Amino acid sequence: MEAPDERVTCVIPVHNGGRYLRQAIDSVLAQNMKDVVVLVIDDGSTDDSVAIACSYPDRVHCLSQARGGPAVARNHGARSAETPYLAFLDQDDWWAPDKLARQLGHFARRPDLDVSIGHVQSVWADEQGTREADQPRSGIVPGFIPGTMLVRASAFARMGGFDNRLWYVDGLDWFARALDHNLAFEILPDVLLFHRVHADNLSRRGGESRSEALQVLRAALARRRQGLPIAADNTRDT
Amino acid sequence: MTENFLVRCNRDSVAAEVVDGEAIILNLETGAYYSLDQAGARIWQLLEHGLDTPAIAARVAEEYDAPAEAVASDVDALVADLLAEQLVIVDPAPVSEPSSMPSDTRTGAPRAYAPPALKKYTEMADMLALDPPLPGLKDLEWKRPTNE
Repeated sequence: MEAPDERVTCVIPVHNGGRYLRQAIDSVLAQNMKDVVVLVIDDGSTDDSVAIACSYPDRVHCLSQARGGPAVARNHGARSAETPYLAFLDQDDWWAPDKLARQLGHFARRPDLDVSIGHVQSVWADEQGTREADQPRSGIVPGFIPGTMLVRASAFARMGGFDNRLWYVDGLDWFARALDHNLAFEILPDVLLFHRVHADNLSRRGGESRSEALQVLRAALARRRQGLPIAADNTRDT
Repeated sequence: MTENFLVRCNRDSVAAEVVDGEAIILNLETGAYYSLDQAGARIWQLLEHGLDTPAIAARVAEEYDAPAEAVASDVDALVADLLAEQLVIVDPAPVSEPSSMPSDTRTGAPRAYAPPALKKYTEMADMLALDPPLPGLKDLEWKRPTNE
């Protein structure tokens, strides 16, 4: 019997991410399944990000685009990929060494599975970060962000990719739409992604990202009001 | 009975917007989100603006041409719900009079008044655990590493 095609492309959008990019790429190349290529999408960087991506002898490719944001870059990478599976990683984050092997094992057992995600451990990068380590949601949380995803390319194409207009919460929007489209999901209990929180990416967690999140929630509610079942509990009438 | 206390939006832990007469309110601590429409959205808007509950009730009763006592009771009930969900907090140090009033942006004929109902949704709480932002980080000061 022919072995299943388990080739994976990992898309890493990068914008001036030279500081941590090497660790991100290395975590993909260090996976204990080797049939994975990295596609770095340079999103208008002016630092050494491209030089870092190009310094790898093989399995790492780099494409450039004018600054369009991470969603545009992820979609660019997904369109350029030629593998049956797609994965994503952000420039500041890194994967657990057996991330892909674990997820591919589940895909092998479940031919109907469209998307696998796992849990995320936030890591506070700078010494002062420990100050916020007891934030209620800074521990291990379900990883509804692109960095934990392994998705069949066919399912990703069916969904139409990330919303190019979003800069902060394209992942949230994608997962909300995926659930509405009844994509077959699986959430592994394992920590598959380490998410670095540091001064620069913390600033993106301010007003604009909150406003985008509200837009996404509003759109999700509107979709559901058009006929999909809605899970609401009314705090006054119950 | 209308209790005269000032509550204010819990800005550290809540993100909210009123669009097309509907307020969407996200509790960043829990990942639950809420909707309020019509009079409820208007009450939220006035709360955001710093009005106390009797002033809100009076204004809403006027705008909707609705019985003042019933509206006052509804405002108190809604504020109790908002407090229970930690979307508003009792203001220990109320500020002085608000500077300018947000205008009633409804157009056309006045809509019939209906008691506000806070609808709560929790199905996306897991999705909101990481992205968007953790609450309460505004005062976090990072020390940049000096040895790089």
